[in-house]
Amino acid sequence: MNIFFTGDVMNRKKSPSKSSPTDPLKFHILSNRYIVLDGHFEITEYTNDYIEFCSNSLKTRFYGSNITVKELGDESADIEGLFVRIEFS
Amino acid sequence: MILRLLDFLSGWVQFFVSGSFCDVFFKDCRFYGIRLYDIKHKNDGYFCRASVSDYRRLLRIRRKSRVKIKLTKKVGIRFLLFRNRHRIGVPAGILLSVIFIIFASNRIWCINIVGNDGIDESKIYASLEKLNVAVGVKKNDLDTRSLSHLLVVNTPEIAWSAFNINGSVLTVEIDERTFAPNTIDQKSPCNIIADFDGIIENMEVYKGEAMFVKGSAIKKGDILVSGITELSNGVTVFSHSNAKITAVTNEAVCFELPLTQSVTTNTGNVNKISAFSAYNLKLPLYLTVPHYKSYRKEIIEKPLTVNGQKLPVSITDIIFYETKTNTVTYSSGEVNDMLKKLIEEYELENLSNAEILEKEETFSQNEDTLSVTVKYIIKKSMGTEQKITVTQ
Repeated sequence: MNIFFTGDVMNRKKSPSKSSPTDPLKFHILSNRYIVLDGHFEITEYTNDYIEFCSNSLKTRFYGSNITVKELGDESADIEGLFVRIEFS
Repeated sequence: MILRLLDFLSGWVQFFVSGSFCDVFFKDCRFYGIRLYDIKHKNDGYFCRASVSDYRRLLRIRRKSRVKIKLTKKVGIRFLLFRNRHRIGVPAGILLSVIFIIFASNRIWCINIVGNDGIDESKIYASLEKLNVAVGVKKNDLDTRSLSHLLVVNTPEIAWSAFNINGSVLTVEIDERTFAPNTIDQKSPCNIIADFDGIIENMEVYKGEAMFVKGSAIKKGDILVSGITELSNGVTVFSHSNAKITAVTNEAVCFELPLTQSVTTNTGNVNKISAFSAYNLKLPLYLTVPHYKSYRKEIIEKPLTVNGQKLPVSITDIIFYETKTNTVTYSSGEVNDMLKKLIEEYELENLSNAEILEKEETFSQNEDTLSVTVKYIIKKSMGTEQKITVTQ
């Protein structure tokens, strides 16, 4: 029997959702070095040179170098790197 | 800095995630509320950082996501303690340090006295000790308000005091009392009497009646200026005599020194030992004490200071100089020089206020001693006030 500090891992956290899945994903671009994502999204691809998110069937791809996800939370992500281009598809 | 410390206290792990379904893994992490930090892509995988509790939950998710997780780094106090679990000294040392810090932070370790110019610090420290204020006392036991009053009451030289506690440093601020100057009594009647035997050289009487004239021979205790003046109409007037009198007198002094003297000199052997002092505790930093038959000891205390604040921790160096006592026979010329030095010292000490008119030195030698008799004729001021008691 495993006892976990935070309870059963397979139970989803019952924290209230801040936004609904239909809400648009918000980008806070702080110069070309730091981007904060706020909303529902999924990381679909991630390498050192680009990172791709999918939200409401809109794919957003940030191109750059040394891309690091500083913090990946429930409904947010802080991304650091040297960004050069944003692509929507 | 604080965030790093909190991270260290709570503990975190770095791991490498690899596999075909890393995107699913990240999605699941977010679904189950697991926060990941510093995700970096490298060699078909991702380096991530997570808290210890989140990492334990991750191990269940990986089966579902079909990814491999390899632990690369563990940082935190719990890992540090676990690594050193067999070393009793480490946790014991940490525990002792914590106890010592708690103990030390509740006590006074340094007393600074501010504002004293004329009063000696040792006197104030003695007064503080009488009030049970010393290095090592509990901060909570000090009633600063009543202590400041008691210090003023117990020490008459202090007019005002304040006790300020800052951390483990007690600062005693004082203000010295200014005493009223002693007033010179110019009213009560008095005579002026002779201090020594001699001949009056000069006499200027400002008040009172002169009993002698210039050139008169006087004896010690003679009334030079009388404070009682009888007028021609028979009325007696009492006055506070005032005069400036100079007299010539003889003085003789004799010095004697043996030709053979015992002289103590250093042999050149020096031995230094040290001791560590903390509060009232003294720890010797030596195994043996030098065994010299005769020695001279020099103690040098070096207190530890931080930002100019003296701590109750110090290193005391005790230096032993071995000495030996030799019997030296001097020539009469050398002893003469020594005697002349003694005469110079005597003149500097006793005759600095007098004018030497004549000086005659007579040297004489016995079997093993040399002596000198110095006869002086000196001119110096004389006169001491002697109160007149008037009864009706």
